Amino acid sequence: MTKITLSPFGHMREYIAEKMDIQLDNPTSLGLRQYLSAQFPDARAIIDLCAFSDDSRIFAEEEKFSDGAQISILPPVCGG
Amino acid sequence: MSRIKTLISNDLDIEDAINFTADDKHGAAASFIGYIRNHNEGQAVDGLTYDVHEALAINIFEQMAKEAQERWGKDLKIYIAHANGYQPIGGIAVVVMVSSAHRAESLQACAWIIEEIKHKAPVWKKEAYISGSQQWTKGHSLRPRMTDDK
Repeated sequence: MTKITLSPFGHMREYIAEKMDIQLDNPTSLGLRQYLSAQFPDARAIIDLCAFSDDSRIFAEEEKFSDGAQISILPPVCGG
Repeated sequence: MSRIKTLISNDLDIEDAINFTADDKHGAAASFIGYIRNHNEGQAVDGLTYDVHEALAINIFEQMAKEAQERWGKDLKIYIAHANGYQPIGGIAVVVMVSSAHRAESLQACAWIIEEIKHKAPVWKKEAYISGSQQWTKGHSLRPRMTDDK
């Protein structure tokens, strides 16, 4: 199991109020999306569109998160 | 001295953009200023609150600015600033300013950068309506494609 800390942004703040530590069997964007969809079924539609990042870049779908990683949840963006 | 400046602030300053992009070798500066408007999709808007992933946004803005310099010239001076937190109607949401020796480069680079910001910046906004309700606005997904996606 890999421990990661989640930070929500935008619409995902409605479901995760603050930073949250979790453990993942499959520590990838795909695995995290499955975990979040199971935890927050009402948010499945938006979770399906989320990307995941650290402070410098967005992770590829199959890329593995390192143990202790700080992962941001990025729903669809609307800057400007 | 750097030819790129990026920042996130609750109080954007257009003068800062003008001063940063000033250059005796540049005869043109193009800008885009986004303001908070009082309506969206038929609803009267009272104000909005931005939520910004600041570290990632700064990184992405710097990548955008470097790519613009690759496309339109290394000598471009580029300023990108985005608001965070609550903004009232008429508040400044975003400032992009680009200066160059001639107008074509700065106009094209500025237009390209604001489109990139609209589609790729890790920024979210929650609109507050006159009716008293609030809503996160729709946006563009940043989810990467799978390696085997067509």
